[in-house]
Amino acid sequence: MLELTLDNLTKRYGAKAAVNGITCTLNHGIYGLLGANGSGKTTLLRMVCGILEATEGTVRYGGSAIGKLGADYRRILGYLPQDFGYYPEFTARRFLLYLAALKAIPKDEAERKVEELLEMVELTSCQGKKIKTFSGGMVRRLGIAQALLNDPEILILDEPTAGLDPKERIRFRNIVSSLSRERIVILSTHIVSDVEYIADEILLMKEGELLAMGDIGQMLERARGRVWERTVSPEETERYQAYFNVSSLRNTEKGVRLRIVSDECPMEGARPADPDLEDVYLYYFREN
Amino acid sequence: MGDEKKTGRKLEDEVRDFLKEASLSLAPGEVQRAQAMTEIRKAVRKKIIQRQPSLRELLMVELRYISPGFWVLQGSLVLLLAALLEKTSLDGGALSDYLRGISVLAAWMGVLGCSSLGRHFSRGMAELEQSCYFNLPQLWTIRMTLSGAVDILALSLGSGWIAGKTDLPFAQVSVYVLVPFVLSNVAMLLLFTVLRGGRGRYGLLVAALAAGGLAAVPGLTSGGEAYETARLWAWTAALLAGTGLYLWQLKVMYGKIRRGETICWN
Repeated sequence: MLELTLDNLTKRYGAKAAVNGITCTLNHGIYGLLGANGSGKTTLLRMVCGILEATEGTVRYGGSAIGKLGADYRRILGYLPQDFGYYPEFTARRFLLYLAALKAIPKDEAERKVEELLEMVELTSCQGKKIKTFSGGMVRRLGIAQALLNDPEILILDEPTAGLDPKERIRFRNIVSSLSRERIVILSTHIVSDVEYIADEILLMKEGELLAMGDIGQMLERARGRVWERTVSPEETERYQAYFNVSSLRNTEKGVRLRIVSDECPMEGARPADPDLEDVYLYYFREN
Repeated sequence: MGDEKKTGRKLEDEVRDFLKEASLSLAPGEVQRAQAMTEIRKAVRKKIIQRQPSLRELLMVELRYISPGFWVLQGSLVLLLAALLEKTSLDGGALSDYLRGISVLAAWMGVLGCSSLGRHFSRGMAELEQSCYFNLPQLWTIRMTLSGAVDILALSLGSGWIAGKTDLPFAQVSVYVLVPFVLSNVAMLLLFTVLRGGRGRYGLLVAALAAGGLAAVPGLTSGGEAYETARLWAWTAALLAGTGLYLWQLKVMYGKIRRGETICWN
């Protein structure tokens, strides 16, 4: 059984802890790692990939420390870094074949896999073009394809939807959803909708610490009774926004409908509402 | 007769129903089939995991994907070296004339060899490559071995030629030639580790000009004093110190890559 264990994982830069004592166990499924920019997501993922050495703690796969597993761990790893680099003079096909070679995939299998993945990310028609001619979205899709080359048991995608337009975001979500659940997928983002419908579990990170972890249902349950709705006049909207954590506002015929995240009923006439993941996010990331 | 036929058909139907029922109970259900497929996939994946690529395969990977521009430049330097030695020979040049030219080219070879390593960083590929089965230190080692072998072979041939023309021992000429080569490599690694901002195209151009200029200095001394046999000990010491420094720099650099410092802070 797949099992990735993070045991008191910590990374310090001087006195500042970028990641502070994260402990959790991941089994197969899609994990959405949610957190604001600078919350330590990338640092955490780099340590999980074995690219960055932890100051304290360990990452274990199947009970063995990944540092000891070395190349055997890297062989089952697929990674899309946040700053996805590429050799601009390479064509998409050559780039994928190059990375397939680095992933020690036999040549025949690599050819077959590259064809399959180019089709999957809809780049077949551009496979002979140099990457420097690609749009941001195409480069990102190429990044997703390379991460899947070795059919990884652990797939780590750091901000995979950055720079994608709405259509491409949907396409990306469909790709991730279509992947076999017989692997561990960690998908980091600060955009709730990227993971809301595809993640089996959510991990919330703030200032280097893991605030909460659980499936969507559990997460929503934590925010139940803390989400309120009230329709106010357009003039009052700004005042309420200044006082409360407003997760959304919508113009209606009767006025502006505010959605407020608050432990207690924020104002007279506010009615409790069913929480969604954005409310949960705001609940954990609200500023006091 | 009719009754017999009816009984026979009934029996046939019963047998058919029985067989159908039996086959249904024997065939695996959807869940069992999915479980079996999962196990098969796992077994297949395990089979692939056990494959260990050979050193030859790794060399071939690097050879296949080194940019053609690198080999063109490398080849140009070797051709330039051959032309320079030939011209010096035709002009009846002295030892310092030969060594001036070959030292500049040796320094450039060092700059070129190291600059190709910087490509991983300048293109932002280092992080991705470090996560692969063949990771960055392995790629660097192979790349340095390949380009270093070509350089040292070319410089050794050049040294042999000079030794033949000047009646100096081959080893002595080799020491003179290898010093600028090794020191330019040291300087380039320093550029990677300390002067991170200097890795751009112009940084490399400046490095190449500086290394070439410095390498030519001993050959410009009056009468080639710097290459007198009495000073060979100083050249040997410079070569040994340079080689030691280069290996130490590599160790430091590999340590930084392993810890993620060089990769994640760039």
